[in-house]
Amino acid sequence: MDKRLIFEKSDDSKDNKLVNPPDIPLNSPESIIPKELLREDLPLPSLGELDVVRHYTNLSKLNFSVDTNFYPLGSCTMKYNPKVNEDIAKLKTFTHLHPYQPESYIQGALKVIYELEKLLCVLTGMARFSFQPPAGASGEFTGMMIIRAYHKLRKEKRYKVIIPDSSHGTNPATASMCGYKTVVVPSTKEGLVDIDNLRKLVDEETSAMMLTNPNTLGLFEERILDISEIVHSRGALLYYDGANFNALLGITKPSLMGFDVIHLNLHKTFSTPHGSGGPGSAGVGVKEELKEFLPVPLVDIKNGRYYLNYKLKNSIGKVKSFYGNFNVLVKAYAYILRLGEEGLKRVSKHSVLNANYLREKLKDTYKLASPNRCMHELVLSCIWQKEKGVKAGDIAKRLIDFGIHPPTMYFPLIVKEALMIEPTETESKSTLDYFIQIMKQINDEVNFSPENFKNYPLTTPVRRVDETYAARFPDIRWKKAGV
Amino acid sequence: MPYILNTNLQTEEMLRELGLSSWEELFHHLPPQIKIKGNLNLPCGLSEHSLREVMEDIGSKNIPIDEFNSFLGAGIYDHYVPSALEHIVSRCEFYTSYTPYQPECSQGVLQALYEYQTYICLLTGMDVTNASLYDGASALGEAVLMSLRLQNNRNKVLVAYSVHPEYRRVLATYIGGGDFSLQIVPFTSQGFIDLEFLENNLDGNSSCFVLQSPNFFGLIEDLDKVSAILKDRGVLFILVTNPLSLAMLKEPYKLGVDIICGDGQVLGGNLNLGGPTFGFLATKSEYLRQLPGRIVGRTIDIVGNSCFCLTLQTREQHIKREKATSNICSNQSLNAISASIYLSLLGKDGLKKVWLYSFNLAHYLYQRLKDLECVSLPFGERFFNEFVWQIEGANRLLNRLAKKKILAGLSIGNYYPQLKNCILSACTEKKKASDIDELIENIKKLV
Repeated sequence: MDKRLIFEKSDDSKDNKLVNPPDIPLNSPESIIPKELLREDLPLPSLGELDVVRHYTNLSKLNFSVDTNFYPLGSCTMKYNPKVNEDIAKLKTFTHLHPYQPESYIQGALKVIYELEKLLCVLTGMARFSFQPPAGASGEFTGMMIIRAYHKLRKEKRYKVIIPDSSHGTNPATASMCGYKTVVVPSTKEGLVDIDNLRKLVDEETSAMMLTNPNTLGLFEERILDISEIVHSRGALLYYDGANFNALLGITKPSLMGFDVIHLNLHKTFSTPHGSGGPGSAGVGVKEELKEFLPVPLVDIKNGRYYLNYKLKNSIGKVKSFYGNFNVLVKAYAYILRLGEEGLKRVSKHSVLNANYLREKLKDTYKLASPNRCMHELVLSCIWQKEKGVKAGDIAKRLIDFGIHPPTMYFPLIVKEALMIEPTETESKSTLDYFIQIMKQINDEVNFSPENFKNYPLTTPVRRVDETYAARFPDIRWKKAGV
Repeated sequence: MPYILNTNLQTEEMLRELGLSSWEELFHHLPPQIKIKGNLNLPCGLSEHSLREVMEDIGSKNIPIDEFNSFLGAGIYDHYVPSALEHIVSRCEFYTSYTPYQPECSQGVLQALYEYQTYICLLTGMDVTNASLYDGASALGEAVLMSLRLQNNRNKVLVAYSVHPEYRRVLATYIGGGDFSLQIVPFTSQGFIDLEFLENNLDGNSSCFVLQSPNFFGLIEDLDKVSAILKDRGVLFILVTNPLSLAMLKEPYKLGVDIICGDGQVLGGNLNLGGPTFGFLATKSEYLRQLPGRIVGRTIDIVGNSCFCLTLQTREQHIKREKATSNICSNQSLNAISASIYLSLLGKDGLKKVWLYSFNLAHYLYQRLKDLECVSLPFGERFFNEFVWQIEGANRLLNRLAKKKILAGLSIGNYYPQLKNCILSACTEKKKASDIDELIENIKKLV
């Protein structure tokens, strides 16, 4: 394959004639704009259309994806992204809408937002949702700023946020962004929140606790009602990082567990594609008494007409321009309509069954991170393999040779040599059995030829990538030779 | 069952393997008080065919912008999107993959993002950038937080009043978690930044100044004059810009800008009711380690081949946790890749043409409006592709024009009380002279 960058394939003579010249005399920019504000040269490449199509098509072929490979990346919920949702989201009546079009011309779009909110309220028990945050971390920021505003309004000075040691990295990073000090609560040896410790840590200076349930070990926090009671007894609020909500659709609701503010990753649980890392979308839901703190605008209805409601008394303002990643909302809404109540319940049942099936079949070959039954994902610890000189990362790289995307590695941080595996409900038993067979085969290889593992993968377009070199000598953009 | 592959028989077999006889047992360890009893009363599922019909029906309650003669802009612009773009970016290997954590099986995305980073650097003249942020407004929030980290003894942020109102609102939220103050710097009667006010309000506590150019009114600011004022006082210069405007305008780096950010929707993005788009943020190499977000770097593999991976991850939340430069995890990769494809398809000459045609059409509209007695033009003509005009009863006129399928622009009096009856209108290369003539004729008729 031609490995040159697009800039190295440029041919100065190309013009793809993509746009029309207007039917008026053309003036040069110099006629209006002072010369010192104009650039001398635009150093972009010129390529023919086929050159461009071929360049990117060939690049795409160097990638694993859900459509081409089993992708059990823990905590990322890499489920199948239904094609019909893509087609629907590409309808001109959804893509060709300007955010400043008068409300009367975007009634369908506002209906999507309004109805999606209603459905998620039923699924979670929350009173209202905002879909402005474009990603999970942005949802966390929104939710924690709401909590901050809530305490501020009550004139309470609370500066601590409690976060389990197994939490996603975004939780403490979000707490810092919101001006909070992170206090870490340790996990028990089973991988659950240490309740006695939590009781000691929560005090009148605690603003909130951020919690994922199921947690990042894939375990359900069985004492969630105790956690809720402890946090609320000191006037703090409970924040739900809904990254793992795929396990709980129709089984339980965040409201029943005592959460006050939540976010749901629509690009995980509700099947919208991850797009190589985005765009995503996060719905932030709150209980009744926190409604007035949500970002503006919300979509409301009056006399049968949907409208953008900016009148929220204590709104934290905005976290993104306009109304969020609207096009992603269309896909999530279509997904929920397609599945309906039974289909959504089936999602959680099968995601939990698939993960437990893997757990059962692999428990003698790899050490389980916890003795407890898992929910939608499981965490293995490769310490038995490490004793033979093969690390979790080496095993992950070997999986690539068998066409399997590696699980999340070295996370959660409290598990040594962790592999975090989330099969999702959309994988078949046959795929799971293939994965099990390969994981066992790899363990055999660990026993017989551990020395080979440093060389894996063998079948990829490039071999093991030197990430240390990249960080030591940052080269993050192309430069023309000699410049 | 839609999207579930296991049959009942297989499911039973799997449950048996776990030593379970029913689904309930799988969730046995959840406290009974929190389990949902009975039904949620959500609707039943739909066949794919019915779903399509339902969604098409909802879509039909919208009127897409192509059915109007539209001059709406104000941050989101209706430029032409080449056919090849949608085809390439719809490749499943791009849109159904995750953040490229595993470089050996993600070289396609990684190279595309490395090229994206290069494109942003070439357009802005800056040294370094990341692999995208959420949108222009949140990129501004991150740029300001970055400045506050770089100068942690200073906590005042100055922002031009002529920065997009949505951006200013998002910025206020972004810095709301800290002990920071925000001061607005007004614009002159000509719509440009008030340099005198700026100079008089800078102090030893000022961390950065945020300017937009072309500003919210479309005007191209004198960046060099601003940077001259800021340099002396060690205040960082943050610029919000329209990346398409840089096809012809001088690289902001050369005019003394320290951090540049903006929204990439103009580079081949759909309107999408304002999202998803993507945000970009570029800066000088000395600030590299304070950049938020993902960064792709070029490196080598164990046999010495050139290749790519995510790099400088020790800035990021999954490693640094509460000490990370940002909490960002997912960004807007697909939109960033889409922008690279757009720039590649247009090429150097194509992009200049988009600029030149948009510029000329907007100026043609400006001249036509200038000829109307009922219209006044509060600011000058040093604009790229949008500008402000004023007319008595602007809101009423906009409504009446809309009924004739003309969206003449955005009424900005709500954002700027002093600009009552002012309308912000934009042209892209998709406009024709006849569209502009139609608008003018209708204004004449209605006034």
